[in-house]
Amino acid sequence: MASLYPEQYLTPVSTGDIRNRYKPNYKSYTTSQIYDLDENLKERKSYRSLIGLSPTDTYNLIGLTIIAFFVRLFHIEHPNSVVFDEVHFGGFASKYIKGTFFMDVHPPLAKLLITFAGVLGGFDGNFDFKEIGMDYIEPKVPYVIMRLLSGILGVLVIPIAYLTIKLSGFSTIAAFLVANLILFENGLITQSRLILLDSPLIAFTAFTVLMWVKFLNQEKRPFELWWWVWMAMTGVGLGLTVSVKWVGLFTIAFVGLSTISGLWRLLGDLRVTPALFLKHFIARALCLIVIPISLYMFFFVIHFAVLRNSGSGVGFMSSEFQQTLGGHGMQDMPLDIAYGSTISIRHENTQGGYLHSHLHNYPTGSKQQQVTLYPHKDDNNLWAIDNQTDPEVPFSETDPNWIYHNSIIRLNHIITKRRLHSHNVRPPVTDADYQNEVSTYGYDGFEGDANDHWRVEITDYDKSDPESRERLRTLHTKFRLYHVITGCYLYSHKVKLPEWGFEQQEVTCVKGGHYPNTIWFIESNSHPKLPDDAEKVNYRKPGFFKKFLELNKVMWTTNSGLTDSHPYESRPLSWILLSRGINFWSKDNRQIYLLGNPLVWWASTFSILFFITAKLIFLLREKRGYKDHMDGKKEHFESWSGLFFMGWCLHYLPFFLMSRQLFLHHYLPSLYFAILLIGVAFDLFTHKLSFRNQLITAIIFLVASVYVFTIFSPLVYAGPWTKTDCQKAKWISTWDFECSTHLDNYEDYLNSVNIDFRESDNVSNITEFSQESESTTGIAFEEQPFVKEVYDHDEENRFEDDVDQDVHEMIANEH
Amino acid sequence: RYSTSVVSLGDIRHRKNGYKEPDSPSIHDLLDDDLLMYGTKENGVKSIPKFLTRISTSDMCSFLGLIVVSIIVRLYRLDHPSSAVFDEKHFMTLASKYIRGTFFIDVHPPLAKLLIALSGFLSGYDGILNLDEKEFSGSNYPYVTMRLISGILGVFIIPISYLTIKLSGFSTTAAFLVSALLIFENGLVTQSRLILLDSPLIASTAFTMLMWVKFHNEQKRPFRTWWWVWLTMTGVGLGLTVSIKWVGFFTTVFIGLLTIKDLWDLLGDLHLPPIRWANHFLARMLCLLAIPVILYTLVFAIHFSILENSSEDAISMSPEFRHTLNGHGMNDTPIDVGYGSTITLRHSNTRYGYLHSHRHYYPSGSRQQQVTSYPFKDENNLWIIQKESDPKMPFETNPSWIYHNALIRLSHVYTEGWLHSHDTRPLVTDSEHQNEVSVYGSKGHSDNNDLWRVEIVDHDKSDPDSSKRLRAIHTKFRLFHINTGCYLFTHSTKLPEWGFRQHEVTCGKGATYTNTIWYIETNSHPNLSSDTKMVNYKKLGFFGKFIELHKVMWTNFKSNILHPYLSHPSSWILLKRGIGFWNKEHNQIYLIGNPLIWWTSTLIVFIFVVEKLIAILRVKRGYIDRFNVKGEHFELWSNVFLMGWCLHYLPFYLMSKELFLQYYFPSLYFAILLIGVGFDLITDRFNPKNRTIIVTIFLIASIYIFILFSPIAYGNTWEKSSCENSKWLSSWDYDCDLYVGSHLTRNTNTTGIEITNPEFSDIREFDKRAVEAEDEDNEKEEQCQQEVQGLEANVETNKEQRCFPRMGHPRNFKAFLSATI
Repeated sequence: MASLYPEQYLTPVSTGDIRNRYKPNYKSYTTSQIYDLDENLKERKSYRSLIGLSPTDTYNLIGLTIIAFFVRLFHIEHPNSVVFDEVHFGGFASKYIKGTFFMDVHPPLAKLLITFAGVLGGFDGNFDFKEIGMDYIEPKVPYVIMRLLSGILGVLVIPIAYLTIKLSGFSTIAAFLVANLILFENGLITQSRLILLDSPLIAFTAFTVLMWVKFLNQEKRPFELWWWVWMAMTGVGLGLTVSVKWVGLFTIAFVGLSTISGLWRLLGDLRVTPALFLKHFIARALCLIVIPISLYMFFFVIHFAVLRNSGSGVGFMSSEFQQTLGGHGMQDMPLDIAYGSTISIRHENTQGGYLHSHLHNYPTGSKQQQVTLYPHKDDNNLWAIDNQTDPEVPFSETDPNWIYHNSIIRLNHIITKRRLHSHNVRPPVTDADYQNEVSTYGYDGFEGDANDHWRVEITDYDKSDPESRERLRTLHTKFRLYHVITGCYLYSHKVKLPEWGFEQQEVTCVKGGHYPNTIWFIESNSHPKLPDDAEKVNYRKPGFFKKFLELNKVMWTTNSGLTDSHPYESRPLSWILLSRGINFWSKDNRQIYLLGNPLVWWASTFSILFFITAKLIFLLREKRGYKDHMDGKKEHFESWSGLFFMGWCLHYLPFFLMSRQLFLHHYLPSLYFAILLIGVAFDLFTHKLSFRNQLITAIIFLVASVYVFTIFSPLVYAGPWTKTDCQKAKWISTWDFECSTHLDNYEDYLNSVNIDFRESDNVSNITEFSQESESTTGIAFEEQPFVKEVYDHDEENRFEDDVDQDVHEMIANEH
Repeated sequence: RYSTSVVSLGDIRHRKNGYKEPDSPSIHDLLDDDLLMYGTKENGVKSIPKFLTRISTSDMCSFLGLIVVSIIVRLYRLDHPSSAVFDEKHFMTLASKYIRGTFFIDVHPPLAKLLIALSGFLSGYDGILNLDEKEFSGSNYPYVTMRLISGILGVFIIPISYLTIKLSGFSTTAAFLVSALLIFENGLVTQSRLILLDSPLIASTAFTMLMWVKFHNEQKRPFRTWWWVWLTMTGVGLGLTVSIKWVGFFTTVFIGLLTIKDLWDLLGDLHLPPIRWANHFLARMLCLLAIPVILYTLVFAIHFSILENSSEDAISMSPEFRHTLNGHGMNDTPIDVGYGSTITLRHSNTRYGYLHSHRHYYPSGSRQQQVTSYPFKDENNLWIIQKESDPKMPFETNPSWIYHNALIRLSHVYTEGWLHSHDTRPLVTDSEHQNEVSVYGSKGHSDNNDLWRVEIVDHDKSDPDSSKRLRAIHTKFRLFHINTGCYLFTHSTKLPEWGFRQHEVTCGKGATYTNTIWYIETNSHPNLSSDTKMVNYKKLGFFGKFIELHKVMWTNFKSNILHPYLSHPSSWILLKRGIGFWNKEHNQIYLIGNPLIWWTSTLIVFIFVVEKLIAILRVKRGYIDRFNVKGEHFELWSNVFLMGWCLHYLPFYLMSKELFLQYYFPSLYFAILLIGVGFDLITDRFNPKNRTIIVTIFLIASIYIFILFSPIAYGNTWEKSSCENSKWLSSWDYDCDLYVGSHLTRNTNTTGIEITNPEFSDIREFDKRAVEAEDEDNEKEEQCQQEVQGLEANVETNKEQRCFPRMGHPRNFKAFLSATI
């Protein structure tokens, strides 16, 4: 790339080559300080295998892991009731066990693991985790073992972090420090004690990073065994991470970018021939793309295999998909459609359902009868296709009246005997110039008018059935309905009618434009005169890939549609400052509140800032011709801090682009990288200190963090706390854990243990009180009838009602 | 060998020396920097003074010719669609509001709209607009003058583009080609004939680019007069662009990046002392940052000074803001609030208004009286503050003020109930941590669930008393419900029809802090002396208004509307689909580009991107492609224009807002500039004659295609068959059925509708008849319905079955459907 200012332009101002202000005073760097590098390859050969640790490291690791076990699993059984999102993930486990289909925005791996743990503990799936605070003990839910899964994965993060820092060539003290900071990070502990997805996510992310670090250390020995092993393991890590939550895509981006930069460097090395480069490229593509994708799909294979029966999530899926689930089949339908057939018409592009009309009128506009889209099977979805002139066309078997492309038809609503109608009136909701209202209109015996005329325009057909291209056939033919007089197409979109339309989807007639939303097909079909042995048709069952793609698409749209507000949602900018936590659970004067260890958290943010400033300063100095080398360690520091910083950025910044609801725990993977950076920053700060001073610094910092950890630990373990201690712990006014739920002093908690079964004294008292007070004074008011229930639910819709309930909850509380 | 040895980044890159001696100098060889300054002669000939244009005579001729042609092309039949096209109605309305001075909120900054209003004003428009009327003809709307603004600015870009190409050192032929292409670009023509903001936007973007080119040419002579002039003018251009539409921000980013690159290169020059570098830096900050910001605020200052009167739109502004508008003031209110005061409570974070209750009940839940948040003044907003213990606390001579942490009850004046909350889920926000709020009880009956604790959270700095006790307007406080531990809360969620679409009020535990803050707006107390201290909102200063308006604009900007002609950025570069602007009888206007020019520009962009990629790869693999000076010149300018294209195009991919084809026009301008660069690059070695031939052929082809599509640009009549033929892509969805042709016979046959006269108006008339008939039928049908209902009124159960046979679903259905979006 040419400079914007070629030299010729800049005679007085040229970027000359006289940059070397100072003669470089470059000492060669003793690489022996760096672990696992070439020079001491031979002596370390003995432990270049999986672990490759010196004895001190091994002791440290074992010690840390033991402490981690204590800290993370301490009283893991304690809140013996449902906490926060255990509502969902516990619920999913019970659905897995029962095999009923559900829809969730997260890939299945972690949920399958939780289920597996539950099965090991003997969970029979008969507990629905309906709401926060439900008791586990009574229905004998093996919740401890389910939580242990999170807990153990949480413990694993600590040795992984230690190794990551150590293997990327930093000091033992730094590694020890980082592992301890993660160990005493309240937020991470809180997450890893509950049935949630974040603990597996962080563990797999950390694992991937460790494998990647091992791989980077092997980079100079390409195509050797361990090179392959570490790369393949990185791929496995990526596959696991992304199968837990889609946030794992950020991890993929992280490894991907790192790979690209590695390949770019390789490309610049002229000794690498293009063929060799290609080999490098393919090896990486194989390990880092193919392996994760196959793993990801593999978990979906299991997912589909387990969920055989129809369940609450089917409403999201297409009819073809539903056909593959037990208990949701559709009967075979006659293939041929002629004038006089009774049909139900389904909208192709939205899951809104069938063209529907009912005995209610539009409150505005023409005030004629409503036409909507309704997702459930119902007699009000039935229409008779009439010829435009004569409704009673006789059906003859020799010369059946098929409906061809460009035929003009009228659609007669069977139950109300009115015809599908449109006219130059604006629809009540989408009040735009190019939209016409669609209604049903007429009465029994009314011969209809020209506004009932619709032209059939076939747009697509099934390849296996060439006839469906020329005339309407059930399921196979996709068509549009053109309103002859006003020149618009029958249309529906995801806009709901208000209550007068029962929140069903709006149907209009739209002018101009080719919309996918104007395409319809016929799902059910019957004709009185059609012989019984007529050709039948049904939905084709989709194969695995189709199902996989469809489910992922639905997950994606649902995920980005989670825009409801939640009292504890927060925006990314507030995360780095830890300005607010999340209330997980509160009962019996105790509470769980997700909040990080402020000291660790702020220190990590500081190390990020420090990194950015340091980088900028180096950049500026370099541009002005100064040469910094820092005893030759500069490159080492830069490459690793750059890597971790990139990890932080890629796990954090993309959230700024998301408009869905976000929570503090979305920051935790970033936090992991930020804490790794603390280790790097520590080494950078103290690289001139003696070992002893380094140790002292680290210990002071550690003791402080542990102290802060203990201050906030009641929020983690739902432990006893006093009001005063709680108030004192509110360092920032925006931390909104509720201090008034706690008792006044610790002795009261001892007493309350004795009367454990009379739980939630205070709370129930208050509610009782309020009920009492109402019942005494409120009699006069309760007699005011407000609005009568307009209609009752049909019995057959109760099932779908439950569906909606579930979905509703999921949307409202999903994180 | 490769696999085992240490792979290091050696320095043995210099594979071969690809450098060739430059060819004999040509016009593009800018070795001599004076040649770069177009029109300055070096060989002792006295250079022409550096004026704005500095154009040679031959250039002058083609220049003038182009302007004349473009005036004809752009302003031909400017009056033609004598009715509002596309957004014209919107901008006409805004112009009339400017003239009448009534406040409005729009998503775009005011500059272009001010210009439109000005032109209307100058031609004697009185600002009265019948909104339902879409026809301009026969009225006194000066729509032609208003369209002229767009038109003239549209003409401007032709000379500007000519100069841009010329001054960046490319050939006259290329400059001619580029500006001719811009003249005959159907999309640009369509845009510049209507009262829209895009034509001013493109013009100011082009102007900014030209000024930056001029500035860049002065690079060698920093801090001289002309250096300053062009730098300042670039800043002015930026200010104008961003004051027309926020999309102009991309232009700012574009110039900003160029400037940063520029400064970075200067920084690397060790000859340049830091002080001097700081001078460079400050000069650019001043001109490219300060000037645009000043201009932008200035435009808003004008905007505010014109819009003095209040209107409906002002409802979404804060009371402080509205206080600055005429006709929306509030009377002064006593500042002191004591027990027994009658107050209105207002929510501080949202603009939804006052705490309100009315004699309607929640349809389910507790079925007590509704409490909502209501934006208008109303007697139902009045509450009396009463003491916890004794509801009938007399007002003493020593008034009992309400201090922080005081317990109060709020009595609703009209229905005499008490503000109440309890452990019941609200009907709309049915979540764990929300409690329903209602009005409950009667005059003498109140219970502990009516108790609220006042927690003062903020106060007016000028009034220290207000931090300790409630005072009207000055004190911001939260109301804590003692029994259930929640705060009185409201948010943007609206109640359904039973709540008259007012905003929901709940009591939230751990709810968003800012949404729980209230203050007292009006206040009266029977026993308060009449000479008591009064208070009112403080009038917002200019910056307060400026910032607040921007917040509102931003939320409006992000909100999506549904439109049939939305398109995705990826479809723009291929011109997959246009926009139907207007159609009436046999004419229509449809925004679509000139496909030849459009696709050529895309191709050129693509070619340059590939070329850059190859260049980067080759450098990495150690090939030294040393360009000669000419090569570097091409490299430089293609980079600049390509960057302009990218920065005006790619950001749209990140926007979740609805997008239209016309957002691509600034990018298209840069892409067409790139055609000029590409042309010079490809025809570098051709002789002038061949170059002229190529240009002529390409131009004739473009003009031919322009004419082909011109009926939908101008709204002229067209043959149906030629319309059908011109649909090169099936996704171009202009309506050919509008035009008269042989289609009516087919229609007659298939529809069976009797049409005696093959005129389209007849079908419409038929439609009218159909509608009339329908109305009659409607009446009949209504009677029928009433009869049916009369019959069934007795049998309640039957009625439900018959009138609502298998109706769908109640409330939760909403959640289900919203999930599928």
